[in-house]
Amino acid sequence: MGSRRGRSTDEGGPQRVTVPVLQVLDLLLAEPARDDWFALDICRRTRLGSGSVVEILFRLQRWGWVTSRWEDASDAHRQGRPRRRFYQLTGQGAAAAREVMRERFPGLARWAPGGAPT
Amino acid sequence: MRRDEGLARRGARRRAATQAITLAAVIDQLLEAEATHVPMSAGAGTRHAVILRRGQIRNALSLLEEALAYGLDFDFVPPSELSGARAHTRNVAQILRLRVTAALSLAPDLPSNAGHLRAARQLAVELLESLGHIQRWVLEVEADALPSPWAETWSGRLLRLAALALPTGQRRDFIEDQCGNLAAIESPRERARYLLGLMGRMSEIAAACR
Repeated sequence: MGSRRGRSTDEGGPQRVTVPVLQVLDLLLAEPARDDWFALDICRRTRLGSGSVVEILFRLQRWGWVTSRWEDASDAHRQGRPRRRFYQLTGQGAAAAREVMRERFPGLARWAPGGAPT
Repeated sequence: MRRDEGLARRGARRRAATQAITLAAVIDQLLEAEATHVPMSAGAGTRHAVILRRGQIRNALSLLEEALAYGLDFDFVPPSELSGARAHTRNVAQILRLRVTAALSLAPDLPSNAGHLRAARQLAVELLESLGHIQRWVLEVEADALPSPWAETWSGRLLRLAALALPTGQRRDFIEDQCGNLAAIESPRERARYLLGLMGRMSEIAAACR
């Protein structure tokens, strides 16, 4: 992935958006209002490795494209497991992600401004 | 419960540090006010400031001691280094109390003992430094010695090892989050793949979360 090259330069935003990052963004944009994305779910849907997904989520958070919160402890404990970290696209993140998608895939209407994915 | 307790104790140590800063600042102000000490008849404003500062010092010291009593009472057996730092901090707090008491024990219309006050100020700064070390040590210990049952599973232990690559404050959250994900995977093969995926990319994950 591009993390080695982008690591020291993308503090305030992305210098380089790699294909796995695009895969995650594409998934998040499919349900931009959803506030309970978690790493395992994203791994399964994108078929990316857990390490890649966790790294991408950390990076998106640092860019301000996603926010995270802890799952309610009582919900998790009722299911007999530790809490998960939930992620959600921010408004800024959704707009920036659509912009990136339009740049990288100009022929597709799927990421039109405000438009739902087709 | 233990996690909440740990957070509350961390908060108490932060409050103690704030009071140590306040104490040092008010001692400076008192020394300054007393340097311009004038007879009561000629300087009512200055005398008022002196009385006010003395009250603030006593108050800050009481709050500091209260916060220390709770903040230094750990919920785990501390390693020897941390234990030593805690004993040192408690000693410093005791000497600080003695110095402040000695400095302010004179009659209200007499100047405070400047020598004791300066020593008390130094002790407050020393206390602040010790508290900073303790705060960092406790974070390390809490991250490394997770009491949670899921961190004691074989995958939890591997994650604890891998999490050493992360900044101290993020290790515990990372382990809990990933244990939460692992616990939802039924297939042993998928679970192993998920875990190995994390292990293989820990350096990149660590870089991404900084």
